[in-house]
Amino acid sequence: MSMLSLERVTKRYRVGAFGGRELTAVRDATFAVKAGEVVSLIGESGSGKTTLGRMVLRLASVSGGHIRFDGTDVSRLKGRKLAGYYKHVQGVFQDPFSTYNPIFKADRVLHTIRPTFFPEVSAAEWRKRIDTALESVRLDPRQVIDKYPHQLSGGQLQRMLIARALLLDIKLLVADEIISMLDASTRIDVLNLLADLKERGLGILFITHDLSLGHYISDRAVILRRGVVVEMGTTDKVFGNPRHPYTRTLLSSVPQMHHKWTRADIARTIDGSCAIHDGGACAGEPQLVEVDDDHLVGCAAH
Amino acid sequence: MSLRVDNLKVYYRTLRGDVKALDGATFTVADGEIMGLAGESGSGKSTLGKSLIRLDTRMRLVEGGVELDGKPLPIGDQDAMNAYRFKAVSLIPQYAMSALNPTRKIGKMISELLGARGVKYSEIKPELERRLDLVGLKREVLNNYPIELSGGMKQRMVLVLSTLLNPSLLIADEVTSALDVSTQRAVAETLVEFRDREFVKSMIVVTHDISLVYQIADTIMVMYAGKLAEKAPADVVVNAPRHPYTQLLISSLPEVGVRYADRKLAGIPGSPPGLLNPPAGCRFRDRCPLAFARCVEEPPFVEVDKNHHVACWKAQ
Amino acid sequence: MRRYFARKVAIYLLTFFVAVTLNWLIPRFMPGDPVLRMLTRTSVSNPDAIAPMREYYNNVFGLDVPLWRQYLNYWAELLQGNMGISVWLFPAPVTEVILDAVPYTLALLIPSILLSWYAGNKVGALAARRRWLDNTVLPLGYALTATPYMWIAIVLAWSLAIIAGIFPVAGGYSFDLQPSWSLVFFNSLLQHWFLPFLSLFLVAFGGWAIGMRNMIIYELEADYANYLEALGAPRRLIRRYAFRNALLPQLTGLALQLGVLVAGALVTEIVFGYPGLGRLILMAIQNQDFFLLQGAFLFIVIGVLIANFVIDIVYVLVDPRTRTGMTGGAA
Repeated sequence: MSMLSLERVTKRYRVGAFGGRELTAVRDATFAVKAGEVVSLIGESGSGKTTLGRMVLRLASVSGGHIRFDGTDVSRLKGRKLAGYYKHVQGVFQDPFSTYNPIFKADRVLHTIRPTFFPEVSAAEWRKRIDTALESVRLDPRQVIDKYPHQLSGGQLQRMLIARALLLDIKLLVADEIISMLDASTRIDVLNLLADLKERGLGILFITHDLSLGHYISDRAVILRRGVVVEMGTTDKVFGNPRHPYTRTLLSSVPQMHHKWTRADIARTIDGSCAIHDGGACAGEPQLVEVDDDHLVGCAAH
Repeated sequence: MSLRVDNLKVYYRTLRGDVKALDGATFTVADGEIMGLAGESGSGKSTLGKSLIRLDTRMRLVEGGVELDGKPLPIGDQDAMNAYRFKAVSLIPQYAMSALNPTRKIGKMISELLGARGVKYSEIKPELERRLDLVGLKREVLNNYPIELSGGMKQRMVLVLSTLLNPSLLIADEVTSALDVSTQRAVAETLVEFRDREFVKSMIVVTHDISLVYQIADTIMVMYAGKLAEKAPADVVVNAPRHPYTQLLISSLPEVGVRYADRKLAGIPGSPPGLLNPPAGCRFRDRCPLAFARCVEEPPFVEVDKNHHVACWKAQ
Repeated sequence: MRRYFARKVAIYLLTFFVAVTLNWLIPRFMPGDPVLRMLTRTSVSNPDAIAPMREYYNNVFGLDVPLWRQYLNYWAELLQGNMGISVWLFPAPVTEVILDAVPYTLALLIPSILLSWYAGNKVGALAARRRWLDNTVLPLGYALTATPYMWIAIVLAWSLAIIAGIFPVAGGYSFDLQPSWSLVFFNSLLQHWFLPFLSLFLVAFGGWAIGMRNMIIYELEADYANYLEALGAPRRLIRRYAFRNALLPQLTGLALQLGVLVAGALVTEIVFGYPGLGRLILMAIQNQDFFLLQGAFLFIVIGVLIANFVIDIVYVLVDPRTRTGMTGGAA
């Protein structure tokens, strides 16, 4: 049973001075995230990956389709029910420094959720919960409490935001490029932390442009291109046997550590054959076709 | 020898004192060499890259010298340095997307820039057009304003402009970090092509992405906390690094093919020292699993193997 | 491009419509009855005569029909260039009264706006690169731009006219002269013009100089300036680019400031008793002459709209980015 499910989710923006033109940022995105599963949403800039994350977090409205969490349509939630949703679903974003208000101490982000969600918890009990949450993201409370954001590293700030999510009764974490601004030697630890949380039953929607990160952590991968899902399935299949030409292009362009670019992978890139229409005309149908068990591919025309 | 840098120290002036961002770098870059300069933020890689072409107002040359093609490069003297910029040393900046004046047509801007540097635009225009063809830009872009070009096009335009006068040394500062995976590869390969066609003699590619620079560089130099850690041929740095920092850094990088479930990677615990008053001795020793008594002395950056320099007592 | 201008024109027409409507509405909600006031001023002694006279004047001014009818009439007359008859200067038509005053106001506004903009930008740009100039222009600019128009006008009138006696204190020309095309009259005009012009110029100048100085410093830090420096471009070229690019926001600033400048001119005219629209408005208010008031406001609105439109066009011509935005540009 999926915890979060997206069904033909579409996002359109009106652009121009009088909203004369319409821009489709996401079209008919359909996928799901189960409890204890990491799903990577992989795409380049303009692919709509961030928009999807924002729609799940209710930071952007949905123009079409449904986002359901435990069976309830998320876009209809209001008031107390919405607060209840945020108790289970939280987001962490790319730039840790802009998430914090530089004039307040960093741990203020932890305290701000108390009046809304835990008014009945006593101060002593709250302190204990904070310590537990910080320890579970491997932060030493003595080192990070009472510090200003500029006194902490990017990695520490991101962990604190994850700790904030853990203070709630969180079931799904939307992680949008959360480690792309961190340094190489510390980013892997944040990634490992996410994997540990997953093993404790958390569902994670991991949004990234970096294929190697997506491959490292996720159980399932969704490849987005210009607002359309072109390929999705278990990570092994999508990365091991990519069927959509776009996925192949991405995989052949990504720089690898122990393998240099060759002419051969360019040839693989040029092979634009459609997995659905073998040699025939591609009409660009929106539906994905299951080419293997839990491996869906869209038409190459997308 | 194309470039020779000798004990270069460049500090940033702040109200609390000097930040020792680049604290003694000695290395050479050979003719035709593409050197990847890798490191994390605060390693001094950008400071090194910048100081070879233009110190900004907060930067101060403390010590050391730079030689290019056998002649000293007056990096500490803004005015004297102007004669070398563009012609002998050139730069592809990190901000290529906004590097062109938005209110001038590109061709007009180039002709004004060249005119100010004493080069006739009409004489160089045929070569400029050939190079535009080479990177797949239409010649008409010269009549466009920068805003009419896409990000990738602007990147290629800057690439062509920066190398137009065939500089001896090109500094490419994080040129691909703002690009998508698919354009990133094309730009990186163009850099190699420009070297192969001898538009530039040698190149320093400043980057935080070792896996990218590994694709195009002949050698990789790794910096840590203002000091050089290791310099070696690219394959050696990636496959057989000798400095503990390089080893840990390389092993912490995920790449396609590595799964958390199969092989859990580990980061490097701790964080780099502050550069306002850095500790004496090896700056990595607090985080280094191999640290021993001698590390309180500063390890010299010495050649441990042919073309393989390391600054670590354990590697010697 | 055509669509862009069509849209602009539509927006301006809409603004004009709203302005005219408001302009018609506001005086009608002002307390007091202008016709009654006019009658009391002419001190009609026979109380029985007041009623028919009032009826007569209400008819003359078109006040004897329902409000909606008055509104429609207003538009119909307006489109023929007729703005009614002045109560204060009865029976002079409002259009005539205003047209007499407009040249004075324009003679103050146009030179002071253009010159202060030009000089402020030049001096601001210079200040951005010379420390001693920066240290003098900046505080002076802040002081000037923070000064109320009225106050600087009074200071100038007091110091240069009353104490030093170099310039006349009030009026548009010497009281002993009749308007004519003579050198003497022109000289008198110029002398009376200078102080109100100077007070307008000074206040605006401070604002432009500060704005330009800050914009230039910002532009010199911009990426393209850094890139040019790395390629060894001379400071002169970089400054030229920076100046041009910094002018664009200053142009937008000009469009935004127009209303403020006009308001400043009105106040200044009152201080100097200068026979422009400002003094006319004051008189119209004092005499509850709402036809004149409406007319004067309408002229100002039209003037500001036209000026804004011109700036819009100039902006499109000088900034390529707006042009690409219109045609869709490169995606």
